[in-house]
Amino acid sequence: MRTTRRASLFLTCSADALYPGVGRASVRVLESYGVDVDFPEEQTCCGQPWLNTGDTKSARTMALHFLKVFERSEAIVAPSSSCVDTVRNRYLPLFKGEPTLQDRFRELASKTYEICEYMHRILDIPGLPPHPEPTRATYHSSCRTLRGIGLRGVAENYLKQMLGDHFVPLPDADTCCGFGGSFSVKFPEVSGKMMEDKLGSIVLTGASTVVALDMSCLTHLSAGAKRQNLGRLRFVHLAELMMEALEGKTR
Amino acid sequence: MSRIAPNFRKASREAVRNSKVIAAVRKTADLLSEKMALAVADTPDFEALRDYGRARKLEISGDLEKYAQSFAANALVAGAVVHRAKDAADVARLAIKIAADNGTKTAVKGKSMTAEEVELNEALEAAGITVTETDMGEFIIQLANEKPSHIMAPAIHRSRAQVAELFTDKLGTPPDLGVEALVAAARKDLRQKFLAADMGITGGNFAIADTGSIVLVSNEGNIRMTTTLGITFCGAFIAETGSLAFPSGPGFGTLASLLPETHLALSYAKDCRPDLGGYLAEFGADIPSRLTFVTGPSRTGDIEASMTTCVHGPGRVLHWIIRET
Repeated sequence: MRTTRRASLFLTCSADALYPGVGRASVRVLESYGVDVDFPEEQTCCGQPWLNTGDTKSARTMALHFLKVFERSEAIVAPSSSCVDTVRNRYLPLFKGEPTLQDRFRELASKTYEICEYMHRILDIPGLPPHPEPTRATYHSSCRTLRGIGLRGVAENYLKQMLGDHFVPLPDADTCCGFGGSFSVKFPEVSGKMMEDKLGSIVLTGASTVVALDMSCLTHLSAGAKRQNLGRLRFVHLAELMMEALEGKTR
Repeated sequence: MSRIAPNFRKASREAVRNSKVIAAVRKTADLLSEKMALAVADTPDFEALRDYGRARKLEISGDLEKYAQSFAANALVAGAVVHRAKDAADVARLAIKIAADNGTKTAVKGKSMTAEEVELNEALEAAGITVTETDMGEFIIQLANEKPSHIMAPAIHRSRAQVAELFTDKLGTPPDLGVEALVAAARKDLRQKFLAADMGITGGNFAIADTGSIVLVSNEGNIRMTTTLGITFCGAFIAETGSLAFPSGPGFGTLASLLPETHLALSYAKDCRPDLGGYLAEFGADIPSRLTFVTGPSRTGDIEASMTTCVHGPGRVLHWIIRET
């Protein structure tokens, strides 16, 4: 019998500012599997916006702060692939020529997970209970899920277990939704067109729920859906559906 | 600075509103991603290969100066001349000087995104040198006076119908030609340019530091025609891909021209090899200074990703296998 697993919740900016429910769902899902979850209150943004715009000096400051806050955690779990990708893959090159720090960042990278990845790889949860009120849902596999942390098929598999035939794969699932962080600010017209295409694919599936592991993509898509009067669409993080399935009731 | 960057936002805004561009890009991009999916499905260790390629690129770009110096030293030993340019203006200055030293009036060019970035054509044209793009996609956008819209498919934004319109306008072809007729028209125009050119310009897909070699990859055969000026004897032929291999070296001489319409290739039956990897392995460390593979006639997919043969040379490949008795 092993001792209780412990994990620190890295909430991420979008869940903190816009989707507190995603943070609550993450905690309840982890706790339902017996994980002892803590929340280091000194945590801030991981620094991704600075990295994306080439401000590596500020990004270093953010990375060092993240290290200070989370270094002693057993595991760091976040409801976002793109933030995990930043910690796992993008901090290390900022500290070239500083081998001691690099070792610490390598160690940090090795224990930082997207929540659904943590459930699959660390908790080794093979299956989830069926969702109490399944509705037709599709899954947007964000760029950082696929190309950043290389997670394929894991979220889809959990969705199939919870929703059965109500889960419908999204056509062109590996295409970007057009958000791309500062890309949507620099090239709003192209970004908007990509979003329209993605919403078109979503409508084709007939889904009423859109699931992803990145709330930033869902913010982008839900704003577009509102503008196109597709208001009946519900955009959720996978952790929210997991919580509903585990607790046997819809929020 | 380049004139591309400041206008990119504006150009992208206009392109997004242009339904013809959207339709053309969608059609070709969908075809290309279908082909990509097929190629990936056919390559069992694709992800491992991709990771290997990425790791090598990162490793080498982290120590670029060392490799650049090694390449320059080895290319020098092989008899090449290597210039180092510090910026785009320096590239232009060097290219113009080399052209002038060799009395160049006209040049033919293979597709090179590096040349696009440093705006080499504009610099050469300003110095009075005519440059003709020979890659089908680049040929189209040069006629249209446009910039490439994609690094691999420069004319991805144009539909077949728009290419036909352009050719009618610039080359005087009949209206609304199909892809094959468009390729034939470009071929006719380009063959004269190849023959008349004083200089060939290409990029380099790979530069091999330890041999000083430049590796050029082309499906159209325009690169080979840009870099060389019949009847050939091939060194081997590859069963798996149907390719003919032409190494340079004793018994082969420099490559004969592959410009003529018909390429008659002769080989002995004993020179058949089951696959490409096995053939390359035979060379060991002694890869010849030039190694050309001819896999059927020259072809292009630059108009709506529709694969069409006979764009450059050879237009027809006859392969005679001699059985030794």
